[in-house]
Amino acid sequence: MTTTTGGDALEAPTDPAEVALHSDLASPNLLAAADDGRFGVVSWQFPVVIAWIALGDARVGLRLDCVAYPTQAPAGQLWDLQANGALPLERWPRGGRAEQVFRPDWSPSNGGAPYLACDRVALRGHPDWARTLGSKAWDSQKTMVDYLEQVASALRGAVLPAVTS
Amino acid sequence: MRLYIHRPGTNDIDTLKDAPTDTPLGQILVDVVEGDFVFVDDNGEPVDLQIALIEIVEVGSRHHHHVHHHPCRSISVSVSYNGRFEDVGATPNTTVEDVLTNAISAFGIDPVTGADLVLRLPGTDADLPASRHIGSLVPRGICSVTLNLVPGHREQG
Repeated sequence: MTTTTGGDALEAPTDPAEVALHSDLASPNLLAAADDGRFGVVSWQFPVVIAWIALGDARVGLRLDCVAYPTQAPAGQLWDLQANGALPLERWPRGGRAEQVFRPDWSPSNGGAPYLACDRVALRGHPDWARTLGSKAWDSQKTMVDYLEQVASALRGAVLPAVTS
Repeated sequence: MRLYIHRPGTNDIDTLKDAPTDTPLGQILVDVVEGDFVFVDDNGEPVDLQIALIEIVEVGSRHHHHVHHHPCRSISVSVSYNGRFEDVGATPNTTVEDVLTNAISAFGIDPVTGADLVLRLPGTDADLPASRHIGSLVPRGICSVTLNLVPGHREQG
């Protein structure tokens, strides 16, 4: 993982969100998930984290805006790890519950966000989820592992469409 | 070689970077208690603490391994579903995913229905992650756990 932080590299981060994020990205649980090939972090420069989720033998990218982490949930969007830009709609994951999570009828107009209670954008539009979905909804005790684990679980059985030139 | 060390009753993992492959496991696992069973990766048979990793795994094939130590040789998992109970056998390194699969089979649940089911600890509303190990749910002193098989929460609205 390329670990970079914003600001002067010689100064320790003072933003408590950046400090918390740095700690969580170094957690053994996240490192183990990456080593096991389930999900992981490619790089980060606060407040943005570029992560990946395994879909079979392929990986789909996620860009996560972690402003005010962990008080606020990360705000995610599908990301093209090669082009370093938003993943085009025609290349979004398919199958399993993928289209219930990255919904073609909702996600594009919401910054490409996943329709999950761990995501900031989705939660903002559904304030009742904290009550109806209980511990599945993000709270300040949750970590990046919880976010990525939820997305990975929601994308089980999904695949990336074949890229046609 | 990196080792991820799993302890009883906690999902917090310890990491040991550059673990020596020719040192007996008992000298590497500082928290292990006499009598604990040690399991490596997904192998259901415990290993002797006196042997070294190099005698267990093919060194060089992977750069990391999971080591689980627990006082229980096996863990009895009682799964509750719609008022019925089924016992699913497990070892501390068995994953929730494997228990879920076995429970769905034991109850004779069809795959379509089963795809929406999750396991939870009684009295909680948190879906247990598929990758979590059963040993992390069972603290020292007991060798059993009860789990509820229920429909997972789905975002709506």
